[in-house]
Amino acid sequence: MSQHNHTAVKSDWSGGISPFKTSYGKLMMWFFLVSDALTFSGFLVAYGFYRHYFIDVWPSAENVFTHFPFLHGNHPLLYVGLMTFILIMSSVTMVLAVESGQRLYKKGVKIWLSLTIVGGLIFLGSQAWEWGHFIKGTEAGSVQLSTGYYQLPDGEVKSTDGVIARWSDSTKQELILPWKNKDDAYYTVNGTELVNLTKKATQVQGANLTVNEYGHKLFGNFFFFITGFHGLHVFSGVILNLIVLLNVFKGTYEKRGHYEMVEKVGLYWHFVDLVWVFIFTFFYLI
Amino acid sequence: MEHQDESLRYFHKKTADEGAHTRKLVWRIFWILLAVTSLEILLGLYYKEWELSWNFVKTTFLLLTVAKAYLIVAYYMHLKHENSFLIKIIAIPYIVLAVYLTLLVLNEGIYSDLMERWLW
Repeated sequence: MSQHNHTAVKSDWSGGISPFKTSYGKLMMWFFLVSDALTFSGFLVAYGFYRHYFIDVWPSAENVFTHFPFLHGNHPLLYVGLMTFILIMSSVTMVLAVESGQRLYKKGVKIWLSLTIVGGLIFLGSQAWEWGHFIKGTEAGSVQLSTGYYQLPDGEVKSTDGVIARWSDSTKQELILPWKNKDDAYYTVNGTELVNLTKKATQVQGANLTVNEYGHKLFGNFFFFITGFHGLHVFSGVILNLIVLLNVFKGTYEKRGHYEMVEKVGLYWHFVDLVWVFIFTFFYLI
Repeated sequence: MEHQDESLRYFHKKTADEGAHTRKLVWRIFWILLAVTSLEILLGLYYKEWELSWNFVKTTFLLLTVAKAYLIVAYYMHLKHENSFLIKIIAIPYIVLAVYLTLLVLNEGIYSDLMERWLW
């Protein structure tokens, strides 16, 4: 009788085994990733909200990130495309390291994990380069208007308080205002009108947390904060991968009989790639 | 009783054949991800020349992003082949909360003008 009862209640949820058919460590890594994903969702939703709130004066990423190493001129999207490729590639090497670990193939884990670390470091370097160009800004810079109002040719009156207006070229004879006419072209000012408008204005170059030559300062703030927080994840991922790689060399996991630690840092690394997919879309494409 | 590593209980050594199969899948997903990303960049660069409407391009970007996210989570993070309880406990809370947050901001964001008048 007791034997019968025992088998009847024995289920996945009766204790003693994981109902998720996975170890504690891996399960907790998944829970952490869900909470971290919600954190990033919060940031990106906040970004979307402010972007639409200041849609008039929000800069377009294709006018901000236009540089490419060793190339002159305008190359929007090209550099960030390269960064995305590097991160996807490092995700592939990571999943191959995990796959080698599942076969207890130590040499494979060593090679693929090392390549993942190299990919992560290249990505971090690229991000530093991108930040450097954003902080330094363009040669001509732009103008930040002071308190006041400006009447557009179609009659609409706009507040100029803190509005960023860019020079149309390096001769600084004409300013491009951040407002568009019916044909989707920006209004421009020159001559005496320009002199009147810029009487109390300040010259701005590059981007930091208080001012941004490309447009609304919140664009810079969100860019630094979200890509910075993502970069911090990449950095800690590289450190975790390094520690695990050292343990692989020492033979720690060989002794344990499984390479689950590689799978766990693998989950974290793919998550970092996943977040970049969203940052790429919301910051650079849309 | 001797202490046994808990993780060892859920570890099953893969054979060389299974490994080869996994690697093939990994590379196939890589080419899809690369193709989708290239398509996004081309769309971003040339949508004006191809005379596509911005709303169409924007929607395409969002759909492709979700597709890429699915591929990474399902195949690279291996969630598709995990236990069904695990899939549910990971996917459902995230999707519900993320969609809720987005809809909340879309719905309540219209009052932000009011908020600004209140604060200043």
